Amino acid sequence: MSEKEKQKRSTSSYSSDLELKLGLHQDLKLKIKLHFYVAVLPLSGRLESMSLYVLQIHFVLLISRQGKVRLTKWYSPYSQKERTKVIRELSGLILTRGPKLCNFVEWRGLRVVYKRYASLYFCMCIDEDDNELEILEIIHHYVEVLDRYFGSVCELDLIYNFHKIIYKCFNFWSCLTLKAYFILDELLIAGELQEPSKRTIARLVAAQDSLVESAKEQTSSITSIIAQAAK
Amino acid sequence: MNPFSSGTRLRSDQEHDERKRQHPPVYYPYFLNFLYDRYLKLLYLLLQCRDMIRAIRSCKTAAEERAVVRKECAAIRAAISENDQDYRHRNLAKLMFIHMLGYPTHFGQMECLKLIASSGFPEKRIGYLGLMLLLDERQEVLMLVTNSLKQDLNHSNQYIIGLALCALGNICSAEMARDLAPEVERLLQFRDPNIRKKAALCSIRIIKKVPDLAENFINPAASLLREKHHGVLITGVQLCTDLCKVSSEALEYFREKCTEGLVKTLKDMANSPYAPEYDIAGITDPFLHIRLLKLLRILGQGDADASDCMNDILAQVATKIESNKNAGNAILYECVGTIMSIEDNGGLRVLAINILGRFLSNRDNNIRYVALNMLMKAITVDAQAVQRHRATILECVKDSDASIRKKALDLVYLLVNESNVKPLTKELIEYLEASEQEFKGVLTAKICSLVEKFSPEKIWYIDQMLKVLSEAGNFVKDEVWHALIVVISNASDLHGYSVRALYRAFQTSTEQETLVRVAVWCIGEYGDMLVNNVGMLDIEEPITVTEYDAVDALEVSIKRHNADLTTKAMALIALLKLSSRFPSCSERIKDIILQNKRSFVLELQQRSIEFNCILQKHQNIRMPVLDEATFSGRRAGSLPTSVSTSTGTARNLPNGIAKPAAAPVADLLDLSSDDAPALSSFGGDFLQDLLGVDLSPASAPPGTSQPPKAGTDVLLDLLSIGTSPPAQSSSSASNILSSIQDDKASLANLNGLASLTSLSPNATSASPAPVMDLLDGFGPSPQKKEENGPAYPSLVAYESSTLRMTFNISKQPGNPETTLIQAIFTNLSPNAAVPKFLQLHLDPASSNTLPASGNGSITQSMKVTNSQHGKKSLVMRIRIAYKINNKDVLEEGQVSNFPRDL
Repeated sequence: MSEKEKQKRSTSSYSSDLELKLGLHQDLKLKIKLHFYVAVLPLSGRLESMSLYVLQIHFVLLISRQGKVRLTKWYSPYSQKERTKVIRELSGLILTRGPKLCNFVEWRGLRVVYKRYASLYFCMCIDEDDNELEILEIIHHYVEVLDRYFGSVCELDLIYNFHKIIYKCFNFWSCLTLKAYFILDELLIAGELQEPSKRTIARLVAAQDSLVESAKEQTSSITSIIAQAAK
Repeated sequence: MNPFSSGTRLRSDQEHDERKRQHPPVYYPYFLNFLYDRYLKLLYLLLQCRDMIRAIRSCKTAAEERAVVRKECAAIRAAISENDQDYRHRNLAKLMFIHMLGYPTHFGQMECLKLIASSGFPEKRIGYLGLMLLLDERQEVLMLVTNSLKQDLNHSNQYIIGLALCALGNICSAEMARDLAPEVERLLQFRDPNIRKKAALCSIRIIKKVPDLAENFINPAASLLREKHHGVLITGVQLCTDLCKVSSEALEYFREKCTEGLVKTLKDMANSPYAPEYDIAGITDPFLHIRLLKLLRILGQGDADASDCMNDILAQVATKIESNKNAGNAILYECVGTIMSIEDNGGLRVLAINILGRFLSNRDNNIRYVALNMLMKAITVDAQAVQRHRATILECVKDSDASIRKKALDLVYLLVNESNVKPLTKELIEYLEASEQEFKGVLTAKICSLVEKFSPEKIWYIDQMLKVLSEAGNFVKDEVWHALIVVISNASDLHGYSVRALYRAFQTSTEQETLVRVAVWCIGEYGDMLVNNVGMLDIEEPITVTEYDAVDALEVSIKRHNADLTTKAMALIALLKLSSRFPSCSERIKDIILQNKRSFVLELQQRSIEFNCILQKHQNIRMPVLDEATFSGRRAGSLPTSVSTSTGTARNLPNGIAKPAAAPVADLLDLSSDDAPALSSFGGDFLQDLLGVDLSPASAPPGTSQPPKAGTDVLLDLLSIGTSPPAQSSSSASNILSSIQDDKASLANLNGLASLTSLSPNATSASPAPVMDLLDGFGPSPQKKEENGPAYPSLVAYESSTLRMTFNISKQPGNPETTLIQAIFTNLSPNAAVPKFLQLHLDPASSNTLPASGNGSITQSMKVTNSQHGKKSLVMRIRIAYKINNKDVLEEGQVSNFPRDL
């Protein structure tokens, strides 16, 4: 990181502290901060720090057919501003593609492999010389694990609509999004595949879930939640 | 905007306002909309206050969403400042959602750290997730987490270790990598395989961040390769691959110690019986297959022994894997990649290319895409084998899928060579008609570059460019059509053909801007050839074009509704040029030019006025000024080089538009303002083009004190508006100009020039002398003109790489039939032949040897008598035989660009 950038960073973190105190004026502050980031943005998809080494997967995105982001996971460093930009660009690129076309899109010198399941687009961004077909297989792998975890294929579509799933689990509203993240973390680390067995992944996630459940039972119950709400 | 609402109700604004008054807006997190369900509503009632439930509704605008998010953020910040323990992880979950929507969430970063530092697993889980989502490695806050990570990596609970490893693998920075590498290294031998695999992937991140640490990981990584657990094996292989990439030491080590083991693992995998746990589409663990192949690729690259070792297994994989499912194809694809990268084995390469051939004819777009991708790489290895699939690749250019089209086009571009350029270009141009608008730009650029690079002959080049221009002229870049003009102007035998073909294309369609421009330029330059059908080729269909038609075409091009400035300006110049060639139309041309006098566009207005002035008052300079533009210096050399250099380096502005400030003279008098070729020739070109005088440094006698460039500057200044040239250099200009002619008697030729130079002091004294004044200044020298007869420019009769022949033409007063031609040979025994209606009298040449490098010249005088003076113009065929470096050279050429009325 150049000296200048560092300076900007520290300015922005300073302003975020200020914001906490200023409360309502945050909007203005944030805008100013975003401008700082614009100046720092690298222009190409391949970041400077990335050129040193090659990641297998740069990021994972789940986008709904309406262009809403459902899940993002960044294995390469992208600033918040860049992330928004990347998502905007890619959803424009991918959502407009018709069916039966190939699942690869070239983008800023990288390649995005996407696949649609129900109304969700699973996108992974890789380098030019990676194996696209394998990434498709990884996406499918992920979908199958999600599927196994949540019950059935069509429900996968609904995870993010919460309508049905919510009956099963209402710990808090976003628990399912989080579950999708947890599963992804069992599948990929640092943009590399870590487990080829669906069963193992499901078992690991389930074990951790039960750990959370037991911890929760110790500390709280539904009555205590109600009691707190009544306060 | 709301993803959760199934339908939106439309309300009139009034109704909306009404509702707003009844229910003051309550900001409500719209993503809680899913709770709009009776059961959940009840539940929610318990959790949240009633008012909010009433207000559950969707956010219809971005502004509303922002407002909601702001409200939520405020609530979360309040909770943070109150140090609310119970809802910390719920708040963080909300924050992640807000983050995902693209709003800034920096204030939550510290919360993540606090959660990570707490003891419970649920808190840590959310905390690490938040850490990975909200932070990236470039934030300094990350340093604060190093300590917690270190503790968690030594935790007794393996799931907590797993969380820490996962976070470290995803976001670790170089400093953290250094600090935590020992922990990770230790965890590579952890008892639980799930931790080992996570630690392996973590190590990848660490060695990528800090390559110096690689050597610590070589031994543990090698031991991972002996694992049976697939997860660990996969990650171990990946770790080895990345170690090989960062450290040559590791590469050597693995190449020596592990190649055989890996080959055996792959063999076992390929032959293994059905394993339900890892089976995908009938293949056991394709992921492991692919990773093993990747590692083998690196090990085999540049090492014959290792490559030999893996030949058999690669052949087995390439033949045995079934290709009816994606998983199988992925393995095959990787296998082909490996075969292409490792040391040469002819048999395997054939096998690989055949697999790619099969891929190409696959119906699945994905497979075809990767096949094209791999063929691009294979072309450097075995171009011949790739050529075999040319037809299939060409089909892919026409695919309905943009990604495939683009890839295929790139590949075709690489495939083209001298032998197949014609059929391939034909196909591409045919496809140009059918292709989509967005694709046309790319396609056109590629075709143009191909045609330029490989064109075997000029006529083919011109033909193809014409087709491209009429199909997709709007996508053609400026330098491409500039190059085309240069090529046309240099192909003297194709002038007529080009102008007729362009005229025909122009008649069919005026949609394509660049086609119109080139056509306009050619009609302006070679309008007479269009009308007289000069230089008719056998393949041409004869057309009858009258002078009136040609002017018509130009008028159309000016008056088209979509014509842009450049085209209009070019058309004006073309009209000006035609005015001297088509005397019958000169009145009409003047009218058309005058119509632009009131143009709102300064450029057009200025041109219109200037040209009108030239037409009205300066008949004497019209001829020289409006003579054919020549692109000297480009005439030499064969076509492809001339084309490629002109596009590569020289930006040619035929008719000099769009740079009025930079080259006023060029603008005014229509020159080729070549800005790229060497500056010394630049000056020469200018003058030569400007006045039709040859002023190459060769012909300038040493009496000239100033370099020719200065002279040009002066002329530039002289003719530019409102700039005052320094008096001293203006005298040098006259020096140069007079020195062109060493024979005093023929100074008369330069009548126009002389008057021009004599005027220069005037121009300098009146510093803001407008160009009108300058041109008007020709008035005072009419007697001189009468005396000497009309002045003619000298012309370049012939030019080749070694030799240039210039004619200085003069007339004896009172004897219009006889033309005195003084031939200056720079750089030789010439023979000149003329048609029968001409009589030729040759004087002996001044010398018969010519010194090298253009610093001398030979002069020979000729007297040509035209018996049909006034009806036919001078034509001359020249043959030059000379010896250069003891080699006999015979060059022939025709001089047909004599001024018309000689």
